[in-house]
Amino acid sequence: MQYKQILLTGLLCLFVFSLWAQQSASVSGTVKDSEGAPVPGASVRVSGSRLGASAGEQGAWSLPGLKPGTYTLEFSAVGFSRTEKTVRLQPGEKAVVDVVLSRKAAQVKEVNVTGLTANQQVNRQAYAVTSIDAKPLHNSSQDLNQVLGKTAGVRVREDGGLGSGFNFSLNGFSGRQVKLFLDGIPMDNFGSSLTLNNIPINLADRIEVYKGVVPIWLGADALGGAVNVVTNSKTQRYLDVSWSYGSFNTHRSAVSAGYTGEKTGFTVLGNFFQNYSDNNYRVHTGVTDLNTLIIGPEQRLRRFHDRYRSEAAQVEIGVTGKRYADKLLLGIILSQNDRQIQTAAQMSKVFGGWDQRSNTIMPTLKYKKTDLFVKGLDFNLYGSYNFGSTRNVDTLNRVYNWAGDYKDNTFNEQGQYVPGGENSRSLYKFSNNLAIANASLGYNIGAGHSAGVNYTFTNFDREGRDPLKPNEEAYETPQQLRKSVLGLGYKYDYKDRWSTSVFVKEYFVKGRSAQRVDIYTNPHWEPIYNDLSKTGYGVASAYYLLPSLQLKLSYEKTYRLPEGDEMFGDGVNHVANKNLRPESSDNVNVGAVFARKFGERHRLMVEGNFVLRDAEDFIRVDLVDTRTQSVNVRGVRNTGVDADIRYAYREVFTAAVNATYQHLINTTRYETPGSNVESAIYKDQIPNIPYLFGNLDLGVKFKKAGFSHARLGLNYHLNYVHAYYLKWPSLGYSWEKNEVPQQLSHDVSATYTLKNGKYNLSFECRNLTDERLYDNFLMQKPGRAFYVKLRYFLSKY
Amino acid sequence: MPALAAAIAIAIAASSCSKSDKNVNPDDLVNPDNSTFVIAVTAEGSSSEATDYVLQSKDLMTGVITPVGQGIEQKSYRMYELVGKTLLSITYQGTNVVPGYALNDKGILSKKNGEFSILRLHARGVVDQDRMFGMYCPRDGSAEATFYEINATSMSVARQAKINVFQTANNWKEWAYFNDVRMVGGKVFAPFFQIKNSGFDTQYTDSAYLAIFSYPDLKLEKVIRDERTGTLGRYASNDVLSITESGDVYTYSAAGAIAAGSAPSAKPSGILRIKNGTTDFDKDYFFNIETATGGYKLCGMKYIGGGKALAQIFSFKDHVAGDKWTNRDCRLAIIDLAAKTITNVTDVPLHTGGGLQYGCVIDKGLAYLHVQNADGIYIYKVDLATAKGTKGAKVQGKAVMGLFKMTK
Repeated sequence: MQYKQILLTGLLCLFVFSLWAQQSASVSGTVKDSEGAPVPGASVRVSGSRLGASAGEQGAWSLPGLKPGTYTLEFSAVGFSRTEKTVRLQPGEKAVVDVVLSRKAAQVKEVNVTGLTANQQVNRQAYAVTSIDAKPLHNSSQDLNQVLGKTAGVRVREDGGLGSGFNFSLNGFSGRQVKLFLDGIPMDNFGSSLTLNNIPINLADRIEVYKGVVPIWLGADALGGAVNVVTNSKTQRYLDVSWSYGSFNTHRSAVSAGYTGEKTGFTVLGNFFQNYSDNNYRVHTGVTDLNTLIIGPEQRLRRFHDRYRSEAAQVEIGVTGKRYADKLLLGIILSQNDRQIQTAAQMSKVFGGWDQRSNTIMPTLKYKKTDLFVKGLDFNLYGSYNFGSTRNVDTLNRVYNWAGDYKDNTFNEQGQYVPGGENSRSLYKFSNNLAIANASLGYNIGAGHSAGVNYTFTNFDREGRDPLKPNEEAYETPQQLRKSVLGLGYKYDYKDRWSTSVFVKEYFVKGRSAQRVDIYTNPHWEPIYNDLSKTGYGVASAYYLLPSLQLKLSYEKTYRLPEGDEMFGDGVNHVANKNLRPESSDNVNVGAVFARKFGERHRLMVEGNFVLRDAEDFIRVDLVDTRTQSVNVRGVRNTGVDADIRYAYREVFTAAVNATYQHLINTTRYETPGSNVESAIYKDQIPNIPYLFGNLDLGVKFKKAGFSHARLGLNYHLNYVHAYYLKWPSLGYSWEKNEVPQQLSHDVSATYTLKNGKYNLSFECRNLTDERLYDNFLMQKPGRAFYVKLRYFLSKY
Repeated sequence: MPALAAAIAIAIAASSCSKSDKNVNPDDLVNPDNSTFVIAVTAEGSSSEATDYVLQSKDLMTGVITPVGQGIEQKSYRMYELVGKTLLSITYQGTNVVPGYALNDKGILSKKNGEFSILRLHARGVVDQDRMFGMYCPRDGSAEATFYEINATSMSVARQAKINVFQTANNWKEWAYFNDVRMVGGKVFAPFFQIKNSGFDTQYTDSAYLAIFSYPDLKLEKVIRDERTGTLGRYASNDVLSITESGDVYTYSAAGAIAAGSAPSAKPSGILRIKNGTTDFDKDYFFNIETATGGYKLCGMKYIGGGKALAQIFSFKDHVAGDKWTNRDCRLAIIDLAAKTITNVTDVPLHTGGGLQYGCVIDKGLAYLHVQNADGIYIYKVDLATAKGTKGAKVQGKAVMGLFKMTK
């Protein structure tokens, strides 16, 4: 996240720190209002310099690495009167300055950049971006997917309970078309044991959702947007321990801690988390008689083979605040997961023995330096290599039904062993050997001009083997894919009113695989190469029409390069397509944000976005006789709107509502290349994609609940998804259509905190009314479920 | 509770029938003789967007047969078999649930009560007005294929058996992959090719192989082999055995055109015979198709009665890697099996072969089939006496997976 931060610094030049002290001193403290409540986001500036900090959630701030001397500190916050304090620092001194800001009587007209939290700063960018502040959610037992799913324009579709497969969709793009990042690092390199469905919310400081233009510092080939999870590593010393327990024997715990030596700069950061659930929630389904194979009437039965567990540890050791490095951290990510598979893509196919296991062993390196050689030049470097592997275990020769009964075929009538599997007999183990390197330079030219360059290199080199299938020659063939994304950006800020970014991205891909040739005369494998390059570009601009009204416009021509398995197949059932082209899209976002205070008590934020996506060459999996292949069929145009309204009455009551409508149309006129027969589904609406959905959130907070520093928060959340068709809407009798029905679900939660957030207890009920919920066709999700979470948080120990 | 659920299910089923009846005018779909054509069309688009639609039509010769606004939507890609009065929609990809459809008293296709669960069927054969056989063949190294005897009338599976595919192939290096299964003289005949991996690679392409099982206990009695031609049939072609009125069985080999995956066969494409009452290939009969046509291979064939079969024959000789699964550019011909003569059908363009087994209706001296090429899909009517084709209705879709004539 520091990584991401510094790229922001380079490119946006919102704040630049200078850390050249040798025998550095530091100053820290808190900012509170006259009632003793913290003032999060308050700005602290060193007079006459560009040094500064902003106060965190608890009003705490710190300025490390100062040269000894006398400083004047200016404290300000929106709605408060400005205050100054002078402090004299001795070498190595750790001074503490606590201030109390008094509220201004008059209404604040202008929102000052320096008074914004990181969260608000992200939202102010010219890009169409939503930043979700994760800190208020740290007491919740949600994971990142559940939080993201409440955002306008976003749907996260899950197959079932904790750890189940999911598909993230943003403004009509989904799957690999939307790229996911953790602190600016592409998450597809982490393996399945570290994804949005198992990372606890406590690890996140905020989540940035880029709806459309993806800034160059997120170096990847996204077709329509990106999500960047920014973890919490700002506070220098902290400890966050949480444990939650709930329905379906769900246990989740997380420990997050950081330490930085004030003098030595020695830094240790650690994140540890664990997820476990039996996911044995009840579903409505018929039981197949194992002898007659007749499917019986619907019953309410528990899932019985859906256990999920994952454990992960991330440790980083290094130094911060040194002359040669603002940050130099060596780290390792270790994680593993084990997922039992209960069903195929439709629930009628049920399994009792199949599971998938995966692990990640990934060393990492992070380096950042501001003001490298010259002032305003910032450098950032990241590298990692994933040694992890995934194993698919399907060796149980049984047939299960939903009652959990099975017919065992392991031995035949003669008592001989019969090898078999439930879905496809397998002990396939593969390692993608993913390497990633990222380097970026940002330069603040001055007078509002800044420029940046970002280069990301990834290498995919799959090695796979199945000891049960010695004859699968395809496993022996190379599957290598190297991708590079080079981004160049330039930004100009005119005062605080107008900001424009332009950028160019160059995508390169080099692939190597093999295909079987001369199958009728001299069958053998021959290498195939697929080298591609594409140029994308875009512009994003934002203008403050009024101090409270910002208009945003952005455009991007973007590409998503084929992934290794799409281009080369999986060597078994997914065949190579060496002619696969990148997906491309023209993305336009037009948005307006209105945010202002009405009096001292009322705050209102209204945001509206219009999106246009004109995409071509969608990469889709198609059936080629017995096997599947990735093909470039489908042009899609999405014309959509989303709106978000937030209201707050003091710190007491909040209400938020958002709605998304997206109209996705098939623009492919001829389904088969070379064909001149216009397809029946030309201009039909793209099926199996939710097109109308929304969320409502209501929250109440009570201060001094029982004890003086105790707070009680109550929350209600409503989610609505309009019914949508599984297949093309125009086809078939309207009364015989397969439909994912309308969903309406209610969640409620209560959070009780003591000692200003040190001790936290929360209680949550999801799907209060026990609705039948589906994200995918007839794949039932959990009914009513209860969760309790305990959390201990200590900053600055 | 289950009783209540069943009652609700029946109520829903009943209401959907009446809904169909209300929305569809039987006069538009059913001929005065109570017959109707049923066409299963795979709609355009990828498997995540598209599925099959079961359509009804009085007439196959005019207009456009389209799933736009009509047809019974399936849950996934399917295969279809007409068993007596029941049309079964059989698992191909996706859900493993088999629903059945029958014409109601108004002649409208309606879902029958009951569903059963089976695996994908790579070999299928109708036995009589009630029953069909089906076989699922593994290609993941599992040792056993599953045999099903399905009763379509009662919508149930009457018999299941396991068949060891390694034992059938009998070389313990590769395994048998069945592509047709029929009841012949009280026994079960199942031709197969061999594979050694999921890429359909094999060393064994130099002979025809056919397994003979006892019935009803499905014990492997013997595997008959003939070296005059290559392996029989194609993947899941189900058109491999033609049984004449006199009980003789004719079978064909495409001989490496695409038949057994990737390996070539040095043997010519041709037709073999198993005479009524015997369980061996007839040593005195072999129809070398390549000699008769000047070097072209058979793609598939369907028995049309009177000792004749409708056949698709490739129009080119050099089969390359890219042709592996395409069946492109076939001609239509009528073969007199006993007389060993080939009559080309005129006025039918080159088209994609395969699928005659379930995409062809023989009715009053006429054959109705779908013809697919770059110009799209059209129904053709072939006068079997004159071997002349007539172009009929256009079909909007990616593929025709079933073409049947049903009578209420």
